[in-house]
Amino acid sequence: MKSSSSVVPLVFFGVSLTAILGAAAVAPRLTPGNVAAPIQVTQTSKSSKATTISKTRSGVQYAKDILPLMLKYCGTCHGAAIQTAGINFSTYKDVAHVIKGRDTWEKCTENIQSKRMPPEGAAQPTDAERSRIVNWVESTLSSAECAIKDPGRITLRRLNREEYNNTIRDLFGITIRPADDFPSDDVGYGFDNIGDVLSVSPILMEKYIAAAEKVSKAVIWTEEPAAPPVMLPGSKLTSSITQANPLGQAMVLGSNGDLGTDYVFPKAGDYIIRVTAWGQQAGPELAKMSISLGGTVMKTVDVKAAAAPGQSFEIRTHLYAGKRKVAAAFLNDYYNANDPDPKNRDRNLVIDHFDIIGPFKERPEPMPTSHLRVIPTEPAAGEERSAASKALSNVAEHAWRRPVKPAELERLLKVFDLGMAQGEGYDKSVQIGLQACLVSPNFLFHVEIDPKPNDASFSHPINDFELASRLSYFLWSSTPDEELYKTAKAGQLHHPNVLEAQTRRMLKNTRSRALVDNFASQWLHLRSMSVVNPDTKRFPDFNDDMRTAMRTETELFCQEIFKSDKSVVDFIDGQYTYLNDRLAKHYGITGISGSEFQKVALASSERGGILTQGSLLTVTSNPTRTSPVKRGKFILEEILGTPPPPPPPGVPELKAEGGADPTATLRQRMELHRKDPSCASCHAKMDPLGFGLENFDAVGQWRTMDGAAKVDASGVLPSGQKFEGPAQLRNILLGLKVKFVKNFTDRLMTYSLGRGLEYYDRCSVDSIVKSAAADKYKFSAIVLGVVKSDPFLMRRGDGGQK
Amino acid sequence: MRSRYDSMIDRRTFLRGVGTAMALPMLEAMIPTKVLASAAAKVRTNRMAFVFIPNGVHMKDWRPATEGAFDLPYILQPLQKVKDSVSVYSGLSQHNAFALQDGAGDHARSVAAWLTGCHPRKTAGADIKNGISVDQLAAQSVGHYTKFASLEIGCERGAMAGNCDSGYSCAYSSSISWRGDATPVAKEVNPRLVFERLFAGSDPNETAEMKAKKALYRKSILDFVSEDATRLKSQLGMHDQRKVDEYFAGVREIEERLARVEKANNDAAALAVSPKGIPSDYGEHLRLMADMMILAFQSDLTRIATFMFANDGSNRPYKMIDIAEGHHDLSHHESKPEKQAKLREINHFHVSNLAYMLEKMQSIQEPEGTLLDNSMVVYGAGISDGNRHNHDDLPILLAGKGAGTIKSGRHVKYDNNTPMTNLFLSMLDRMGVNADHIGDSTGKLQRLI
Repeated sequence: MKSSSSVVPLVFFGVSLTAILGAAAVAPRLTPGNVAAPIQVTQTSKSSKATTISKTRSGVQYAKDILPLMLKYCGTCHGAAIQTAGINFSTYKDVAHVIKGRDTWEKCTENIQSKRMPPEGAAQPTDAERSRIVNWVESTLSSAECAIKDPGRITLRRLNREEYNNTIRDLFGITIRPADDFPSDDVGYGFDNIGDVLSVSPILMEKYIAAAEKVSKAVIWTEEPAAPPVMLPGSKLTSSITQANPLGQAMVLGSNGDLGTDYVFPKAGDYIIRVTAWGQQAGPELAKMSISLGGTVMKTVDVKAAAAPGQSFEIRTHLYAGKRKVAAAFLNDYYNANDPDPKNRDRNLVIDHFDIIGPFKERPEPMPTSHLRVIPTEPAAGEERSAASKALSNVAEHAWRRPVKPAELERLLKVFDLGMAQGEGYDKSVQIGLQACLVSPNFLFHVEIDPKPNDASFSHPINDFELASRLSYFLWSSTPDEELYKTAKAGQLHHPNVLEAQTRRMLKNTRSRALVDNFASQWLHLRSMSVVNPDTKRFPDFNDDMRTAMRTETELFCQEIFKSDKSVVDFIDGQYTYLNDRLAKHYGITGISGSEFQKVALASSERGGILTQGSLLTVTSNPTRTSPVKRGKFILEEILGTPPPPPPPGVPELKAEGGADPTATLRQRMELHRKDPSCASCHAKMDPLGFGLENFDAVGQWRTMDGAAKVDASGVLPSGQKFEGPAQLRNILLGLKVKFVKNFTDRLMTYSLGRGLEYYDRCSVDSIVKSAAADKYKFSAIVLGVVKSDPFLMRRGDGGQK
Repeated sequence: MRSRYDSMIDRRTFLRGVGTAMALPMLEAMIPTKVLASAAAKVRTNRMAFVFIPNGVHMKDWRPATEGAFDLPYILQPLQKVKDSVSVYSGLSQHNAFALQDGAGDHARSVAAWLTGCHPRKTAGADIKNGISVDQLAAQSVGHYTKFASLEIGCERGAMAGNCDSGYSCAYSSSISWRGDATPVAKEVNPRLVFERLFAGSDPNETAEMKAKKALYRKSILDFVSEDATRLKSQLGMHDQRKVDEYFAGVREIEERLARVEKANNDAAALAVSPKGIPSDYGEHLRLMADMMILAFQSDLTRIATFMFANDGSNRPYKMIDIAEGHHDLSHHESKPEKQAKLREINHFHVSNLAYMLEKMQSIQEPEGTLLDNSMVVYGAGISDGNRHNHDDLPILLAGKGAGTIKSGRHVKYDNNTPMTNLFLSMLDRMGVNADHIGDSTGKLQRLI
């Protein structure tokens, strides 16, 4: 699916040098329209503010209506006398304390709501009492969160592999994917674009330099030999005279005559023939040498050098392929035995070696587009530096996603100057400058500057260039295109209507496929498809074609939701999918022919939504069997956003259950295991959800028998809700759709920011979900909610104390 | 006159065990004249390598029955030919890999703590904190003797999706090597890329003149970007500055390497041909990576290496030995004999690949002893019993004689809960690194000699 069709030619914006330098000089960091008044946040005041709010809440008061309930039903185990799990509700004297202990209270409401607490046998609150507690805690915490006004901060993050590849593709219109050779990016919070965990190791630095060289060579055409130079040592060549004696690798010509070889030129093209020689000088003249090709003398020279390593002489000429004699000749032998100085009696020519360099690449006609983008025309002699200044400031502005400062440009030109001083020519010297741009931290990092970098209480809107980068790396995993960049440069992007229009435009662009490749494929663990290893003896239907087909199905399904702007609730119960003949057969769906994937409406209730797709069912299985635990955990974590609580400290050794029947089914064995109370706390939540998918085997095929036993796909949730089979499980999940959308928003926001979400982000997530409800949870409504949220539009300084 | 030390690899030795489908390096030409040999010529070169295996082992078939001289238990039987160079150390532990109130996540912790002896901070991303690992401590002190301070390789990439282990970032579960508290060292899993890295600059199309120019341009580019980074850093908050510091560290290492390469004037690898890529057969992949490590040691491109046979929690099936179940799945064996039987086969398979590596090191003669004699290869896991996830009494062996500083061919029992970092301290000492502690070490490990 990754096709080159997503490469949209980028035109370097015809911004004049003065415009860039002018803009940079006036407003190096912020565009004029974007300097909003910074917001001062005093975080210490958040509890007291929240207290005021909650005291006026509709009748319910903490001290009177909530705390007594908690102590009555929970206080026996979590009170002053006993503090199971370290929780003591009597210490939560007032609302401020509840807000401070938000993590505990959130878990507590979760347990009260799901009726997991109080435990069986203890006195149970009424349903009305349960919802009174839950509602109060939720609204109290949520208003406390909304009072905080902290947009958070993203740790300086580097481009990851995908972003690097896409950026190079979109900057230059080439598809060489240099980052495929980089080490893998570490994952945090489920994604590989998290600033905190993306580190720069020396090996990566090496790769950056190598990649910059590779990219600059692919972008800018320079004349270079297409084959390695061939070195022919003089001593290995044939001479026309007998007085030719080897001296190390060289050959000494003692009288007039030539030295050479019949050389096969492999291809037509320009060649350089270089002869390195010196003279054993004597007499009135210097040693004289000619260089000839195919019998024709091309050049005659005086050899000044009198000792190794000698002096090089070269001819350059266009040649057709074929055999030709390459030779050098000694022309002025001299011998005077009577010279009083014995050293001045005998002149000889010493030929050290020939180099044959070529064929040189032919200058293409027309020049490659990428070359013309950087170097539109070759400058006239004497105008190289001013032309380079223009070319490099244009390249750097796009590579760094912001205007270049004059001092930066001047330093960049020094790199160019070095190339020129080495005699490299204009193109090659620009190439070296381009390499410097691509190794610069300004290219490799998403740079965002705080006016007060170490003041955590100082929040401010990010500037339009930074916003353009956030937006394009969120939606495209790539650099801003011309239109987005221009909008930022005009200082318009932060206007909500402009931002919305740009977002909608970008979602429609083929580059938004990156949301499938990088967001959905990580959220839904799709990338693991390339490493799963189902046992092909048990599942002979599974092979690499199937692996690809399953992945493609889910990718196209996600693509449909994103591109056609469907409700994200379709992830749970979409009654359609994409299949080809192979996968349809695997699913037992008839009437699909051909290897092309096509949209298929799902008629039976067996399948629907992401959880019944082969990819997901396979990545949550073990190689030889299904894993209801993994499937249940997946639903809790990635669909509902309520990861199971961690196992208690010191999980006991799993012993072979003494009384277990060795022929017991997996389900029976798991149920036995759940009798252990320390296991039950998590597994009562995870396992039933996973059992609901037991009708699908470890490679996602429908089944009613597991070996000799009938599949039992029923489950009971801790809340007492019962269900049987995937369709009913789906309905239960559908009833929890707000939870799902909230989790989806949480995931999308994490991905969009490149940082983990904190408690102060929850208010934003909640309000995005609320307003998206009116839009039937359409994908675009959630994306726009994220893009217009404070965490996306703003940042604050660092605490600096950690 | 070249000494044998400086001369070449036996090509046949290298070929053994390498699939014929691979494009093989032209080894005769591969070995550069010994880098910086003259200065340290009198001292016997010593190397350290750390080889990690996942998910614990079946201890019953790992631990020798007797102390001192021992018969090889089932899992260690492939080591028959190099038995005299192998010591098994029982009782070594990584206390900091235990939960210590942090709950689940033993796989991630066992990796992060394995060479650091530190307790990694539980986080999925923000404020990662671990400690420096023994290999990097050595690299920072004696790494400048060789072109590469250290080499980090493995056969599995980091996780590609999802949370890695119960709230721990994947940075923990896929890296045993750490440059500092917050910086894991990325490992290379593609033998071709390892090769290209080791022999970078050996492009046959480049003449000496072109190489010199390239080095000149690289220097000028590094100067330029260093200044960029300096300017950038001055505008950033504390956490951001750390990222720029990582960048600086990378720049500096490459600058130093450019200088070293110039000193060494080493282009003997010019005719080398690189391996093609990652072989589909896992055993072949392991052996090819081992070849790369040995090549780097033998040609003294580095003296320090880490090698992860797999990441912890790896659920790879071992079809080559007829095991279809995932390794992690099996490691929770519930004390069932049929699962344990399969586990010990996986353990045996890993050791047979270790044997390939050690036998090959043994076959390479150096002026004094063999390459294996002049190395210290730690092999083992960060979990003892995969079913219990315990990190005490770890399965650890040390191969090689540390250039005559280690008495091998023995099983030494230490008190359980002896910090494994004590072994590291003793090894650092043998590398000429002065360190008074690492992680939770309490002193050097006794009875190595």
